[in-house]
Amino acid sequence: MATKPSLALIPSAYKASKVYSILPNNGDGDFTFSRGSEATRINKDGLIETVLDNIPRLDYSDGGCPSLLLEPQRTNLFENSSRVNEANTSNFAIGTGQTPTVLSENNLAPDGSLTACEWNFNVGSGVTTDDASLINKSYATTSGVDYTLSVYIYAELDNTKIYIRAAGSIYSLRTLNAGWNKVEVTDTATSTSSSWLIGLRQAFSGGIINSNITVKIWGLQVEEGSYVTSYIPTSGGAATRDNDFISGAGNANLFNSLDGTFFVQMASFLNTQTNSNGIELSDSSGQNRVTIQYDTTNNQIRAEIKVANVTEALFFTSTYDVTNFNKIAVTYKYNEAKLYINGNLISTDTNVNIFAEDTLTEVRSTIAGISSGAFNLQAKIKDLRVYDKALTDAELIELTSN
Amino acid sequence: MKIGKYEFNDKTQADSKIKALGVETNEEGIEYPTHGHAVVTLGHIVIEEGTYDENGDVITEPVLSDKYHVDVMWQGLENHPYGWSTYAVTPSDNGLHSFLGIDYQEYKL
Repeated sequence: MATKPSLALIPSAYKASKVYSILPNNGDGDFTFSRGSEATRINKDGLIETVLDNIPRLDYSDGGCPSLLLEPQRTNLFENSSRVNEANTSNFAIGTGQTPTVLSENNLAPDGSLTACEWNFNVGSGVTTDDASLINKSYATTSGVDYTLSVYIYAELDNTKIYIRAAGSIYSLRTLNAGWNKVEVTDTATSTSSSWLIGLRQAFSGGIINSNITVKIWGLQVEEGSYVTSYIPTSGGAATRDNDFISGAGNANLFNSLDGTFFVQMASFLNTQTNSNGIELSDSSGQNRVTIQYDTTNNQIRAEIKVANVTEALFFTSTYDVTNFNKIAVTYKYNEAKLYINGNLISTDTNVNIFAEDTLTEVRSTIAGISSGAFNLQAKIKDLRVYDKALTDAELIELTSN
Repeated sequence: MKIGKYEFNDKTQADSKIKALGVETNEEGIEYPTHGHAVVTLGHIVIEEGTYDENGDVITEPVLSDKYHVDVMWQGLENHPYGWSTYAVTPSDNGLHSFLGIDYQEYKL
C-alpha cells in the first residue's frame, strides 16, 4: 500500500517508560509507558523473564514477532510460587491413594532457574472417587468471585492426565504433553476461604485416569479474575503486578483531525470483558475521540467517534473471536465513517460531524481519557497505525486482510 | 511513589476509605476510580490454614484475620491520605504482600 502512516507502532524497540514508534522517526510518535511494578514476559528464547518497573514488555508467547503486552493489575495469592514443595502446600490422600511426595526440588524451571519440584502422585490400585492423591492450600476468597489457578507442569509422557482446581468443588481434568505445560482453570469461590488443588482422583468426571505419575511443578499462581495473566513470582508473600498503560503518542501536527484512519491489530485475553476496555485517538480530555474497544458482550468489538462528547458514529460487531489478533480500522471524515475488520466492511455511517482542525493530539490505551486503570486496554498489540486520510475501500481491505 | 499497608476493621470501612479517594461514574453507569493509586484489597487473610476434603468442603475452618487488609502503592503522595493513618501498620519486612520488585522498607510511608 503506497499510503504511508503518520504514526506506526510495530513493537520492537523500547527503553524505560518509552515504547518507540517506527514512524515518525523524530520521537513525536513514541509512547510513554508506565507500570509501577516489575512484571514477567516470555522472551525470544521462550523463557520467563522478569523486567523492571516501567519497562514495556515485548512478549513472544504467541511465536513469531513479539506483541506489546498490556495487562491489568493482578495479585498472585500463592506466597511461594517457584517452590511448590511440601513446606508450602498441604498434601493428603484418601482410599488407596498415597500422600504426594516431593522427590527432588532443584530441577530446571521455565525461567531457567533450578527451582522446579518433582512430585509423585499415586492413587494405588483403587478405581473409585474415594481414591485420591492431592496437594492443596487454602486462601481467603470472596464468595461469588472468580479465581484463576495457573501452574507449569512438566510431564515425562504425552497424554499424562491430572486434575486442577482454583476454588469451589469442581475438578477440571487436564491432559499434559511431554515437556512443560501451562495449565489453568477458573472457578467461582463459594465461601470466604477456598483451596486450590492439584493431583489425581479416580472415577471422577473423566473416568479412570493414570494412577501413578511423576511430574515437575513450578510457577503456581492463584489470582482473582476470570482469566490467567502473566506469571507473578512470589517468595514468602503475595505479590501484585501493577497495570500497564501507554499514552502520549502524537500531537496535533501529526494527526489530521478532519480526515483519517485509526488502525490496530490486537488480541484480547478473553472473549467477554469484565469491564469495557480499549484504545483511542483522542484529545487530552477524551471528549473528542476515535475509540476501538472490547465490550462486556461476548466477542463484541465497538468503534465509536465522539465529537465534543456527542456520538457521531457507533459501530458494533460480535462476529470475530476477540482473542485472535484481529485487524481493525476506523476511518473518519465529514459525513463518512467506516469500520473494517479482517478485510470486511462492518458498517458505514454517512451522517457524521467531524472534529475541528488540530483537535486530536494523542493515542493512549484507555477510553474517554480515563487513566486510572478501570478502562485501560487489556490486550496484546502487534501493530498500530494512524493515517492522515480516510483510506479507500481497496486500501482498507489490503490493510486489514491477513 | 510510596507504599502504605493498612488494617481496617472490616470490608465496609475499607471500601468507604477507598471510595473516598475519588470515584466517578461513566456514561454506562460504571463506577471507576479517578486516582492513579494501585489499591490491593487482601481482605481477611488466612492466619492459620484450614483443612479441606477432596470435595473442597471444609474439615477445619481456617483462622482468618479479624482485620481487613489493604496495601496501596501511592502515586504523588508523601503522607497517608486523610483518614488512613489511623489504620496504617508498618511491618519490619515486606509483610504479607508486596508490589512485585518494590521493597516496602525503601518506599514505605
